[in-house]
Amino acid sequence: MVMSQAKYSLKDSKIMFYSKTALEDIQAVNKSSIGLVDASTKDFVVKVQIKSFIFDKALMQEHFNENYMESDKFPTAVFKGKIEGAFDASKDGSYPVKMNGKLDVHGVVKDRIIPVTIVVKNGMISFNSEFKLVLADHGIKVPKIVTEKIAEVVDVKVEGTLELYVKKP
Amino acid sequence: MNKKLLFIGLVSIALAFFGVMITIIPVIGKLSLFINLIAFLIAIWLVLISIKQASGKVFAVIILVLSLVSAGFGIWSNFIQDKSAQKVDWEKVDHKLDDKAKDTRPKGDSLNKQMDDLEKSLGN
Repeated sequence: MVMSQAKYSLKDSKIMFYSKTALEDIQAVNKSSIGLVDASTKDFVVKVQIKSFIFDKALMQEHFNENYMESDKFPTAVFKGKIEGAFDASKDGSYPVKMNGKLDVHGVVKDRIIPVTIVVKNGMISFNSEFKLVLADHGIKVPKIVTEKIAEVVDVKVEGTLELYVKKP
Repeated sequence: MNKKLLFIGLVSIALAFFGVMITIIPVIGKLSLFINLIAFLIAIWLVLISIKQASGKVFAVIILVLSLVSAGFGIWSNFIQDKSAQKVDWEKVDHKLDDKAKDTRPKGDSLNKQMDDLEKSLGN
C-alpha cells in the first residue's frame, strides 16, 4: 500500500554531492528542486535546476556550470519513474523503497534504480537517499589537467520532506 | 667520503622522490606510472652498483625500499585503487554550505506552471 490516492509534492529538499580525491574535496548543495509523487500510480518526477547548486568557491561554481554541466544548454536534471516497494503514510515507520526510473543529467538519460528510505513520523513524510553518479555515464567530460582534482564518480545524498499537493486554481 | 657512493645515493633519492612527486602532480596524470617505473628501474641499477661496496649495503637497501614505495604508490594510484568503491562518510562531511544554499524555487504563478508541467509529465 502506498500513502493514499493523493499526490504529494516536495516541500523542501536538499541535494548534496561530494567529489572526493586525494588532492581536493569538492562539495555542492542544491535546495531548489521541485517534484511530485502520485500515490495511486506510484509515479514520481523530480526536477533539479543545475544552476542552483551552490559551491564553496565562486570559481568552482562557474567551472561546474560552464565547463562540465553546460548549464545553459542543459539547465535541468530530471529523474522520472515509478516507486517500487510498499509503505504506509498513515503508520509511523521507516520504509526502504526503490525509485526505478530514467535519470536525465547533462542531456544523457540513464536507467537507474536508486534506493530511498521513506520515514513516516507523526504524519510527516521525509525521505533520504545516497547513491553514486558516474560522470562518464552522462557524458560529463573532465579535462585531463584536473582529473586528479575531480572524482570520476561523485557521491550524492538527497533528503527532504513531502506534503500533500494542492493544485492552485 | 666515498664520492661515488654519495653521488649514486643522491641520484637514487632524487629519482625516488621525483617518482612520488610526479604521482601527485595532476598535470602529468597517468604518465606518472611510466615515469615511476623508469625511476624504479634506474634506482635498482644504481643500487646494484653501490651494493658492490660493503659500506654501501645498508644505504642501498634504503634506496631500494624508497624506490619500491615510489613505484608501488604509482601502480596503486593508477590501477589498483578502486575509485568507485570509495565511500563518503556523510556524517563526517562538514556541511558548511547548508546556510549558503537557499531555496530559490520560483514562487506564485511561475511555480504553479512548473508544477502543472511536472504533473503532465508524470507517468509519461
